[in-house]
Amino acid sequence: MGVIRQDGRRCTLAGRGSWWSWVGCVGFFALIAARVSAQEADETQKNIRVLQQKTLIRYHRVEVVPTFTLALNETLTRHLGVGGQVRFHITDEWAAGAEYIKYFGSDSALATDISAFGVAKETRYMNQYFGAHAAWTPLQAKFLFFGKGPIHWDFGLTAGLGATRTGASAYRVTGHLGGGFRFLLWRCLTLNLEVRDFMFMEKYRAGSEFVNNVVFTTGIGVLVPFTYHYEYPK
Amino acid sequence: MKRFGVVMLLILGAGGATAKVGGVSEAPAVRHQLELRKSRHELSLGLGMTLNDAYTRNVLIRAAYQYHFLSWLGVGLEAAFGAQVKTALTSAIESGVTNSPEYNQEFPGKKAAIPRSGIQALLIAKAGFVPLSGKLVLFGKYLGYVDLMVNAGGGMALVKGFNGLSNRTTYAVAVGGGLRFYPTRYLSVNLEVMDYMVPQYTPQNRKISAGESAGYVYAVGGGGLVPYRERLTQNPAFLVGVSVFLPFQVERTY
Repeated sequence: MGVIRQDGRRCTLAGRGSWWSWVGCVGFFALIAARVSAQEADETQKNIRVLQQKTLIRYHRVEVVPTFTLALNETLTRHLGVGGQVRFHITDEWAAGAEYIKYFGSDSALATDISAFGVAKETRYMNQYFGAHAAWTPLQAKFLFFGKGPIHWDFGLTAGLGATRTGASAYRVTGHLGGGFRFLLWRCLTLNLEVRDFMFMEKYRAGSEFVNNVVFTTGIGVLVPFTYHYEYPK
Repeated sequence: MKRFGVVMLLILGAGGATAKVGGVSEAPAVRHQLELRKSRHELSLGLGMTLNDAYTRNVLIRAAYQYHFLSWLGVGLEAAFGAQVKTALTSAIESGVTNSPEYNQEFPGKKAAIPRSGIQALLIAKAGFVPLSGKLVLFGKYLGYVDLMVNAGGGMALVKGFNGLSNRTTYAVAVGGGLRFYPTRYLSVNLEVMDYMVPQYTPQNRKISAGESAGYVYAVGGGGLVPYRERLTQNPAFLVGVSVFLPFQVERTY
């Protein structure tokens, strides 16, 4: 029976033969196994990010968004709009920008139907809007799409001031508030979905009326510069 | 030699186990993910109202049950009860008709009340899909889980008629979606938009042709008649609600 001491404890190897032959065998194969395991670990650790990098970067980038707009809260008219937004992201959370919307208006089917009662309500089409805004993006998140992903997105609030041209030539001072989602499609491409309420006073023949023009806007945002570099590697 | 074989088997076995644990290339996007919906019952209560209504606004109270077979798929039932309110447009039309000389001559001293209808009750069987789910971070602080749901279904509607239109039972189609925010693992706060499409009799600015019978005809004085015809009306409703998920215990994925 051979005896070895290991970390102050007494270990016993039962059986015949010399103890050093056991130690030699185990040591030799343990060395081989350790070398193979180390190589496998190197391969797998290439995919492990110790420092997670933020994927949706806005800081010091310009966002250009061609937009399509649909008015949501209309009953007697229908408005569609095309336009664009340009904003500069001062920080990752704060941005300032400007936008333009060209509206195309028409009467709704309801406006035609209620004329059957012999009554008519004065309607006025919106022609265009231009203004400036500030945007704040406090919330960011990621989604799995049917368990795959992730899809990075953020939610922001917008407030702005501008002018809406209604009818032939009347310009109305317009304030707006809104919120929207930005989904990252690629490093420089985003899908933007937002709802805004454009508020202004409209003068009708019967008197002035406060108008809430709630619109849904969608657009593909292009972030410039297209690429960016991280301060720290992965 | 025998010992040599035993030692080698042990070491090779250990090496194989190490290789299986270490591989991450085929790992799921999220490990140990909370299964907030899979194999759970969802009981929810909601309150909301229809938007952009022409003649009648519906205030809805809704109770719903859904069983989630998978994280992304569930089926359920919802029952909603509605209270009806006249819109500003209806009031304006009634005022305009009442003040018209033709109406005053034919119906002196009588206020015009135009026929209209609203949703009194809904019973809908639906399927719910959850294509997107994830976590929310506000100012770098974790807020909770959130998912985006899409619902579609069909069922029955009880339509309540006013000012001459009668009550009727008909079919309903419902399509919508929304967000569920989970402050805890068994409770969610829901924001949802559902479009309840229901056939209703509505006025139409088209004369009644020969041989045609309108669903209802309203006289506005001076021989003027407004025909009402059945049309599938859209009633988009915004609902806020809470859901409780049972059982309270949540499983995790691998």
